[in-house]
Amino acid sequence: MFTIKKNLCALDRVVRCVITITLFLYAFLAAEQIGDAFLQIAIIVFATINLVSVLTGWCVVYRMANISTCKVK
Amino acid sequence: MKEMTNVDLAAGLRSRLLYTSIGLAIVVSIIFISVAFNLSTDLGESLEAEHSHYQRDQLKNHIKNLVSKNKKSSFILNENDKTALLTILDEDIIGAEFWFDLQRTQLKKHALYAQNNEISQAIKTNESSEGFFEKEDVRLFWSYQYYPTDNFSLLIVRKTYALDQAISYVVNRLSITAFLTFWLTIWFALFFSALVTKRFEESNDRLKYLATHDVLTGLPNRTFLYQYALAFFHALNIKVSTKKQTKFALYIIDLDKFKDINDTMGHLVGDELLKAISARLNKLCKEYDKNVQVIRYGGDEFVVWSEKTNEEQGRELAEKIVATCRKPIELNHYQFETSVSVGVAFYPQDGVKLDELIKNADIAMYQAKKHRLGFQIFQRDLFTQSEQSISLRGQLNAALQQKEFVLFYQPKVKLPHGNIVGVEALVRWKHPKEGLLTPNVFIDIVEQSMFVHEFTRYIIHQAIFQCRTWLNNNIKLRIAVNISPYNLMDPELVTYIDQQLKEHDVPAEYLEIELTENASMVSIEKTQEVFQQLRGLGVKLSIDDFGTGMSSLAYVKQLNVDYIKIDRSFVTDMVNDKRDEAVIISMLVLCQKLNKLTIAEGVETAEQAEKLAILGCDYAQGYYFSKPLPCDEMTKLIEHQEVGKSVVISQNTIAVK
Repeated sequence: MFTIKKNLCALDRVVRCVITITLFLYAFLAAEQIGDAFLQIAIIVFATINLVSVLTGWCVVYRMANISTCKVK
Repeated sequence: MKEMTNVDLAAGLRSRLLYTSIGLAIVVSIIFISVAFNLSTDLGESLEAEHSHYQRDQLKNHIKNLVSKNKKSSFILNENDKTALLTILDEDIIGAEFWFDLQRTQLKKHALYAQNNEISQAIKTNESSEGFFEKEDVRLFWSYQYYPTDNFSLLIVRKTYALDQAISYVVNRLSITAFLTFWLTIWFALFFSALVTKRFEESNDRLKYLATHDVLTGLPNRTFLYQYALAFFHALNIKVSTKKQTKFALYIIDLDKFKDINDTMGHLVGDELLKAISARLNKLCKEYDKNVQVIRYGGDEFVVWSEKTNEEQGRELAEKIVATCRKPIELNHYQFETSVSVGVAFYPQDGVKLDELIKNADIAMYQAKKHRLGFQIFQRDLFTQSEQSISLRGQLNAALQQKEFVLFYQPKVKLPHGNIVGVEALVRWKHPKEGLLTPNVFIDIVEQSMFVHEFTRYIIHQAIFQCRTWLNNNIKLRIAVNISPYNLMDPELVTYIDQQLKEHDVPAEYLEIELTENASMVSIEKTQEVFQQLRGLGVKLSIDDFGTGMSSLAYVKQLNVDYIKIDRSFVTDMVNDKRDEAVIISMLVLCQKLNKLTIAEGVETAEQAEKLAILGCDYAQGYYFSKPLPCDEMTKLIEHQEVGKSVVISQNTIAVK
C-alpha cells in the first residue's frame, strides 16, 4: 500500500538534516542536562526516524497524509 | 454553483485539524508545565523546610546543653561556644538568633531579613510561625519557634534553592517533552486529517457519482454532460493555441419506437431495453476510443461525445452505432428488433456551444428518424423545416394551455344529392407567429410528445362542445374526430368520452371516432377492445385512409366499425385510371358484403362524385363539396341547407351568405 516514492524536497531534507544533527548532539553531549534516560531515548528515536527520512527522501507521515513537498510534475 | 474541489476540502480540513491539534498541545503543555513546576517547587521547599527544622532542633539542643552547663541566671555566650554552634549550621542558613529569658543572642545576622514584617511580628508577639519570602531576588525561609517550658525562642532564616531547581528541571526536561509532544501532535493531526479526508472524499465521490450518473443505466447523465462541456470549453479557452485544431463530434441517439415498447410491454421491459442498449453503446464507444463519453441525456436519448473526430471518423462511428443497435436484443425470451436514429453535429462548424451542438444534432436526428436514415450528419441549409418542427415541439404545452388549437369542419355528403350528413373535425393550430398550421406540420410532433392523450381529449371536448352548440340551434350533425393509435393506450379515453357526452348532454351517435389503424403500433386485440367499449357507448366508428399503409383485410373483418373511408389516393385518378377504379369497385363490394357504409375521401371534381355515386359509394367528402371550414362558416352552410332543403354543394367556394 505504501509505495516508497520520494516526497521530500531539498529544502525539507536540509531542514530535517539540521534538526537531526541538533537532536543527536543534544542527546549525546547534554545527557546530564537532560537528566532523564527516557527523554534521552525518545530524542534519539525521533532523531533516528528523521535521519531515515533525510537519507531516503521519503517521510512515512507525509505518505500517510498524502503530502509531498516535491515539485509537482 | 461554486464547486469545491476535493483538494480544497482536504487542505482546509488539514490546516484546521493541524491548528486545533497544535493549540490543544500548547494548552496541555502549559497545564502540564505549570502543574509540574508547582509540584517540584512545593516538593523542594517542603524538603528545605524539613531540613531547616532539623537544624533548628539541633541548635536548640546544643543551646540547652550550654545553658544547663552555665547555670547562671543570665546567659551570655562566649566566643568558643558561638563558633561551636555556628559549625552545626549550613552555609545556607543566613540568620540564627535566640532569646533566652527575653535576652537576645545573634549567632548570624543577615541584612536580607532585617526589615521583614512577618518576622518582626513573630518576634514581637512571641508566637511560633514560619514562611517564605523573597528579598532582592533571593528566596528565603524563616522559622520562629517559641519553647514555653524553657522560656526560650529560636529564629532561623535560610536561603532556598528549590525554585531555581524547579525552573531548571522545567527548562530541561519539560521543554524537551513539550517539543516531542508537538512533534507527535503534528504527526497525529496529519495522519488523522488524511484519514478523515479520505473518508470524506469517498463519500463525496459517491455523492458526485450519484448526482452525475443515471441510476438505471449507470451512464453519466445530463448534469455530467454540462459539467464536462463546461470543463472542456474552459480548458479550450485557456489553451488558445490548440483551439483552432480542436474538433469533436456530438451524437444524439434516439431509440425508435421506444414509446411503443414501453406502452405495449410495460416499463420494466422498457427499462431493461434501455439498459441493454446503453451497455451496448458504452461498450462500442469505449472500444472505439477510450475518451468517448456516452451520456444518457434523457428518456431514450443518448449523447455521445467523441473528441478529436473529423467528419470521416464521425461518420464511421455513427455507422457503427447504428449497426450495433440494430442487432436484436433478447429480453424476457422475446427478440426485440431495435433501431436507433442518430444525429451528428461537429464542433466547431455546427456550433461552438453545447446548446447549439445539441440542438443541431437533434435536428439531424429527427431528419434521420423521419426518413429512416439511421444516421444523419447535420447540414445547415437542409434543416430549416426541422428547425421549425423542433421549435413547435417546445411550444406544444403552451399552445394547449392557450387553446391555440381550433377545429375546422369538412362536410361529409350523401351521394348522389350532396346533402350534408356529417362533418369531420380537422384540427388547426392558430400559431401566433407562424399563422394557421395544418396537422401535417405538427401531428407527428404531438404523437411523439407526452401530450398526445391530453391533445386528443382536448379535441374530443371541443367536438362535443360544438355538437352541443349545434344541437342548441337545432342542427343535427355527427362530428367525426380522428384519434391516434397511441390514444388506444389511454386507459381513460372511453371513460372520458362517456363523461363528456353526458356532461354536454349529447347523444353518443353524434360522435364518430375515426382511426387510422396501423398494424405495427397496436395489436388488433387492443383495438378491438377499445372499439367494443366505444360501441357500447353508442359512438360511431370508422376506419380512415382505408387501402393504404398497414391496413389489412383482417382489420376490416375483425373490427366492428360503421364506416370505411376510402383513401384519397384511389379517388384522385379514378376517372382516368382503370386500376384505381377496379380497386374502388372491389372495396365497395367488400364493404357492401360486410355491411359497412363507405365514404370516399378527397373528391375534387364533379366527375369523381358522379362516378362514385354510380358505383354505389354511400358518402363523399372533399374540396369539390367544401374545404374544411371554421365553425361559424360551417354553421352558415348548414343553416343554408336547412332552409333551402336539399342544397347540393358544389365547387370549392362557399356561396352561402
